[in-house]
Amino acid sequence: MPMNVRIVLAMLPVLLAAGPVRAATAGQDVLPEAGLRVPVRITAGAANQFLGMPFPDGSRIAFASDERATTEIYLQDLSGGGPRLLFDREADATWPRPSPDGGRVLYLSFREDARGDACVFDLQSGRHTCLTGPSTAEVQALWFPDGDVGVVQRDSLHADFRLVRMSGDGRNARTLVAHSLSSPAVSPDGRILVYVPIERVLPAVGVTFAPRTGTGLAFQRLDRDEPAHPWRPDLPGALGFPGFSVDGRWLVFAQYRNDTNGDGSIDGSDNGVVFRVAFDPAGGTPEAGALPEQLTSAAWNCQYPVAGRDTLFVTCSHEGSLDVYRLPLDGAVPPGWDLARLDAEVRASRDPWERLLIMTRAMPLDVDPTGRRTRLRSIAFAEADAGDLSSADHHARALRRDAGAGAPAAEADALLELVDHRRDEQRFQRGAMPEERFQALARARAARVRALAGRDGDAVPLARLALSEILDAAGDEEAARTTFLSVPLPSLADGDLVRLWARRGVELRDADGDRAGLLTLLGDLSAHPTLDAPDRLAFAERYVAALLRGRPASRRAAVLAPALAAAAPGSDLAFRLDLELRLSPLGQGDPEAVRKAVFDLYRGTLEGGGKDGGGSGPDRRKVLALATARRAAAVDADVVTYNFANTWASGVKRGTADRKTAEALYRAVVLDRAWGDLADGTLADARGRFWEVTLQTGALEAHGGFVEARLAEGKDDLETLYGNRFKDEPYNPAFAFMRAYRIARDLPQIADPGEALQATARADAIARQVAQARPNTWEVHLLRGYLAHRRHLGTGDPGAAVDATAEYALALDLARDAPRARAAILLEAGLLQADVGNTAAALRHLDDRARLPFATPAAELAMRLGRARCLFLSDRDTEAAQEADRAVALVDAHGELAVHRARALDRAALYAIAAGRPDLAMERYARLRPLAEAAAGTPIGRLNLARLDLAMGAAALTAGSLPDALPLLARARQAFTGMDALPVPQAEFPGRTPPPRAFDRLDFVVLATALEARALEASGRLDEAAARTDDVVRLRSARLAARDLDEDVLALAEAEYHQAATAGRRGDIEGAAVHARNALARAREYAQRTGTPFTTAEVQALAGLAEAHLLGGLPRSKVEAGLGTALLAAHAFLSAHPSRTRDADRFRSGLLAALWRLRNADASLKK
Amino acid sequence: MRRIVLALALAGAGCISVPSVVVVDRKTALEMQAAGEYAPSAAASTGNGMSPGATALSRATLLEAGAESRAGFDGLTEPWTVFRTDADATDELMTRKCLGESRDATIVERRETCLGEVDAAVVAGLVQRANRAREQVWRWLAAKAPGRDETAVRAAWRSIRLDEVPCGAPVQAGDGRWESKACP
Repeated sequence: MPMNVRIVLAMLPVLLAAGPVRAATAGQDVLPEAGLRVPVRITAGAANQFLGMPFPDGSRIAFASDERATTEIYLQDLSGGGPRLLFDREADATWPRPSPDGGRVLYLSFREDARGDACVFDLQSGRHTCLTGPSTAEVQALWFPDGDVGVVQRDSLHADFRLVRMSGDGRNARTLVAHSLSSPAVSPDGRILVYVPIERVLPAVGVTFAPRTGTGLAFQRLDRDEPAHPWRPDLPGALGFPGFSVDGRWLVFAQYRNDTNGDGSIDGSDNGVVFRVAFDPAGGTPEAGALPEQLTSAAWNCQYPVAGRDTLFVTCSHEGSLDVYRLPLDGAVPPGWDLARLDAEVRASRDPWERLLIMTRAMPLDVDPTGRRTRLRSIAFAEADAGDLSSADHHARALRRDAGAGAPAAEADALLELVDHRRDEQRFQRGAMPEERFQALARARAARVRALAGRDGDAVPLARLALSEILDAAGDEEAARTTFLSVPLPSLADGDLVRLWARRGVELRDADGDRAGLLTLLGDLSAHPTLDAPDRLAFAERYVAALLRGRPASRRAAVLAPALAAAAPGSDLAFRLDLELRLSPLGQGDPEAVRKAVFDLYRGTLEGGGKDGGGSGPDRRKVLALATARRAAAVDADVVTYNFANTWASGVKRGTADRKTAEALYRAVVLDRAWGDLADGTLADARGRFWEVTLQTGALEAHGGFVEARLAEGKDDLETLYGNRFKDEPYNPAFAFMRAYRIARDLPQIADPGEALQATARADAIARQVAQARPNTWEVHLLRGYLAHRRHLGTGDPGAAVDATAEYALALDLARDAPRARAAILLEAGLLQADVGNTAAALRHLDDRARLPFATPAAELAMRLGRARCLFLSDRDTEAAQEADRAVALVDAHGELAVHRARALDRAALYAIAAGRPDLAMERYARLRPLAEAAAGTPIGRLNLARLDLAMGAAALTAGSLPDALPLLARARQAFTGMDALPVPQAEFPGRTPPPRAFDRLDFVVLATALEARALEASGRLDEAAARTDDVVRLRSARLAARDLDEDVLALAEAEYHQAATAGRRGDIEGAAVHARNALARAREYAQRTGTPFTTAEVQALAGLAEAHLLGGLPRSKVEAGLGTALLAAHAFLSAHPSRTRDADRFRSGLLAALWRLRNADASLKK
Repeated sequence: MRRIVLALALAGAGCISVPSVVVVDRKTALEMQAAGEYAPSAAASTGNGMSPGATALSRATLLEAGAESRAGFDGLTEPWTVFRTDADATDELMTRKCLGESRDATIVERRETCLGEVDAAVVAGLVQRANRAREQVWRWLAAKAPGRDETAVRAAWRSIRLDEVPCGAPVQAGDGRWESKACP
C-alpha cells in the first residue's frame, strides 16, 4: 500500500475521534477579552502574501504571493497548514477572486498580455479561460452574484479606465461605468455597485500615472437607471477598497486616516485603517447619519478588507511583513465594552494609535453633546501628540465649525494654529523648509495667536500655551517663558490643557537644565485636582525620575527623605516618594527587608478604599507593583520582583483594563523564574510556578513548562491532574494543548515509524482544534510546526515541510519578544530548511539562533553541524570549517555527545579540504580513523573506511604529502574494486525511504584510480601514472558502451585529456597529441549531443594540442586542422560567458591563441 | 533522480579540474563522494533534539547572551505615559548606549554600542533638535556672561549637565575615550 494512503487510513480514526475544542466560556480558564483584539495572521513566509479573498463556504482563502519572484496565486485552508500553489503558468498572476459557486477563480494574468488579461481558472478541470485580449489592459476584476464578471480596463497607456460587465465566458460585454474608477464591488443582491471615482490631475496624462483618487465613494444602482450617488465619510484622509458584508448590511473600506509616517500629508504611504459603516440596502447608500466604526489600529497597516461570513479578512503590513490576517467582523474593539471600559482602556494603553482607536470608538457612545465635544478635542490633542497632524487638523476644523464665537472659537483657532505650526516644524525637520522660512512663519503665526490669547477679554489658555511653543520655535525663548508663566496652573480646568501645560513646562525646564524648577512644576502637577489618579501618579513618577536622574544609588535615600518630608501627607507624590525611599536599599542590603517595607505600603493602599475600592488605591497598587518589579529586576532581587508581580496580579480583577498589564508582568516574572528553576534542575519549584501561571493567566507556554517539569520529576500523572482540573470543561483548549504537547514530546521514543506517524496525526488533530480557539499563540504554532516537521522527517513528504514552514513562520511572528520560544523555533525552522536544501533560508534562521544561548549541548551541536553544512553549500568554506570545528570541540567537551564524534570529525575534515586547509583535514581524518576502523564490520562501515582513505588521500595529495597519499589512494582503489556494489544507504530517519545513491561503485573506483594517477605523476612515477590513467579511460569506455549516456561521453573526454597530459609529462608528445585529439573528438561529440559548447574538456583538449605544437615541437600537420580558429572561438566564448571557475581556461586559451597568431600564418587569425 | 557525471569533484578541491557539468551542484557532489555515513544521521539528530515547546533558559542566561534586555522589562513596568518629550527619548537612548555625551557638550549617536534596534531617521532628528536647543542655551548663557568664550560656556554647562546624564550612559572623556557614566 502506498505510504500516503497508509497515512490517510492511519489518520481516519484519529480525525473521527478528536473531540471539538471550544474557547473556554466559564471557570478558572475563562479568558475574557482582556484587551483589543489583534489581527490573527493566516499566511506566513519571507515573501509578501496579499489580496486574501475567502471562498464562499469560508473554508479557505485565495491570495497572491511573490514567494517565487513572480506573483502567483495560492490557496490555503483556514483550519491550518501551508499554502498550495493554485497553478504554475510561469507568469505573473494576481487579483484572485473565487466565484460565487466556489468552483472557479477569476484572476488577472500577465502570461499572454503584459498589460493584463482577466482569466478564469476552473478548479475541477484545471482549465484556464481568458475573457479579455491584448487590445485592452485589465487592472481589476470582480464577480457579480449571477456569475457575470466585471473588469476594470483601459485601451491605451493614457486612456481612462472603465468598468465592463460580461458573462462568465467573456461574451456580451457592455460598459457599466464609463469614467475612471477603482476597486468596484457589488452588493450581495447584485443591485448596487460601489467604486472609488478617479479623476485626471492633468488632461494629457492618464490616470495610471497621475490620478486624483477620491476622498469618497460612488454608489450606482444596477436595478434602475439613475445617477451614481456620491458619499464621503467624515474622516480625515483618503479611502479605498470598499466591499459589502455577506448580508449587505455593512460596507467595509480602508481609510488612510492618519499621517502615520509624519510626512505632513495623508496618502497611500501612510498606514491604512479599516472601517465599516452601516449600509441601507433599500436606499443604496450608507445609512443616513451612520458614523463609520474604526475596526483596526493605525499601528497596523491594513488594506483590502473583505467581509466573509463570520470573519473580516485584511492584508496588513505589520513590522515589516505583508500578510493576510483575519479579525472578527466587528473589529479590534470588543463589542461588549461600554464607555467606562473604553475610558479605562484609553488610560491603560501604551500605544498612541491604539489609544486613538479606542477614543474614536468611545466618542459616539457619550450621550452628552458637551462630553462628545470634549472627547473630539481630546482626540485632536492626542493626534497632535502622536504627530498625526493632518488628522488633528481635520478634527480641529470640526471643533471650529461648532465653536460659534468668543473664547471657544478663539481656542479652536489657536488649536488650528498650533497644529499648523507643528506641521511646519515637521517640514523643517525633514529638511523640506529652510530655517529662516520656518522662523519667519513662526513669528507671523505668533502675532496671530497673540491676538487670540485674550480675544473678547477672555483668557484663552490654549492660545497662550500654543504661543509659548511657537515663540520657542521662533527663537524667542524669553518670550516663550514669559508667555508660559502667564498661564497659572491652578486656572486650568481640564486634563488636556493641563497636559499641554505640563509638556510645555517640562520642555522649557529641560532645555534650561533647571532641575529645581522642573521638580516644582512636576510636584504641582502631581496634585492637580483636574487630573485623575493615573495622571497624578504619572507626574509623581516623573518627579521621582527627575529627582534621582544621574544620582548614585548611595545618595538616593538622602535626596528622597527631605523630598518626602516636604510633600503633602497622603498625596500621590508623597506615596510615590515613600515607595522610592523604601526601595532605595535594593541592591545594597537585605531584599527581604525591602520586601517587607514595600508590602507595608501596599497594605496601606488596601485600607479605606477596599481591595478594588475607590480613591486611587488600585492605581497606587499598580504603580507600586510596577515600580518595585522594575527596581528589583534591575538588581536581580528576584524574590522581590516575584512577590509583587504575584501580589498585584492576584489583586486585579479579570476583565479589567489593567488585567492585561498585570498578567503580562506576572507571566514575564514568574515564567522567568520557572524556566530558570527548570534549567537549574529545581523541578518542584519549576513545576509549582508553571502551574501558578496556568491558573493566573492560562498561558500555553506555562502548560508546556508544567508538562516538562512534572515529567522530569518522574511523575506521569498529567492526564489525572488535568482531568480533575478540567472535569467541567473537557474541551478546554489548555487541556487539549497539554494532550497534544504530551504526545508530541514523546514522539522520539516511539520506535515504530508507522506508530509514530499515527501519534503525530493524533496530536495534530488535537492541536488544530487548539489553534482555532487560541490562534494568536506562538505555542500552538510551534507545536503544529513541530508535528508537521516530524511528519516530513518520517516520510520525506514535501507538503509536510511546507506546512511546517508556515507554522514556524507564524510562531516566529508571534514570539518576537519571547527568546525562549525563538530559540526553539529558529533551531527547528533552520534545520527544516537545511533538510529540504534551502540553505539561504536555513542560514537566516540558524544565524539568528546562533546568537541565542543553548539549553543543551545536543541542541547546540545540531545547530553547529547544520549551519556548517549550509555554509559549505553556500561556498563559505572557511566559515563552514570553523563552525564544524566548534562542533568537534563541543563533542570533545561533552561526553554525552561522543556518539556524534565520527560525523563531526568527518564533516570538519571535509570542510577543511574545501577551505584549502588539507593539513587540518588530515588531522581530523587521523582522529576519525580509529572510530571508522572500529565500525568497519558492516557494509556501511567498510564503505566509510574506504571513503576515509579516499578523502584523506585527496587531502594528503593536495597538501603535497605524497608518501601519505599514495598508500591511502591505492587502498581506497582496492577497497572499492573489491566491493560487489555499494551498500544500500541507511534511512536518514526511521521509516523514511533512503534516497538512491548518486554515485555507484564504479564511480568511486574511477575516482580513486584517477587520484592515484595524479599522486603517482606528482611523485615522478610517470609510467605507473600512465597505467592508472589508462585504467580510468578503460573503465570510462566500458561504462559508455554499457549505458551510452551524455555524461559518460564527457567523463571519457576528461579522462582522455588526462591521458594526454600524462603522456606529455612523459615526453611522449605524439602520444599526447593522439590522446588530446581523442579527447577533443569526444568533447565535441558531447557538445553535439547536448548543445553545450566549449566544456572544460574541450578547451583543455584544444589547449593541449596547441601546446604540443607550439611548445612541444609537434609539426602543425599532426595537430587539429583549424586549431587556431577553434582556440580563438573558445576564448571568445569564455569571454562572452565569464565565470570565475572558467577563468583559468579563458586565460590559457587566450594566451595560446596569441602565441598561435605569432607563430602561424593562419588566415583566420589575420583578421 | 537523475544520475550525475562522476565529476572528480573531490579532486577538484585539490589539484584536478572541477567538473564542467553536474546535475547536483559541485558541493553536493563533493559531499556525496567524500562524506561518510556515520550514525546518527543529521535528520535523526534533528528529530531527537527537537522540542514542541520553549527552550528552558534562565533569565540570567538570556541576559548574559544579550538575548533579553532590561529595557524590555522596563517598558513592561512603565505604568502610564502622560506624554513623552524629546528629553525622555534622549534619556532612553542614552541608557541603551545609542547616544552619548561628547566632550564638546553635544549629543552624538553611538551606533557601535547601541543595544536593540532604533529608527535612524528618528534618532537623527532627535539629536539635531537636542543640539539646536543646547546651542540656544549656550547663546543665552554667553549673553549673560560677557567675556567668556564659547568653549568656556560649553564646558561650564557640560559640567552641570553630566550630573543629569543617566547612569550607564556613554560619556566622552577629555582624551576622547568613551566611558559609561558610573553611579556607585
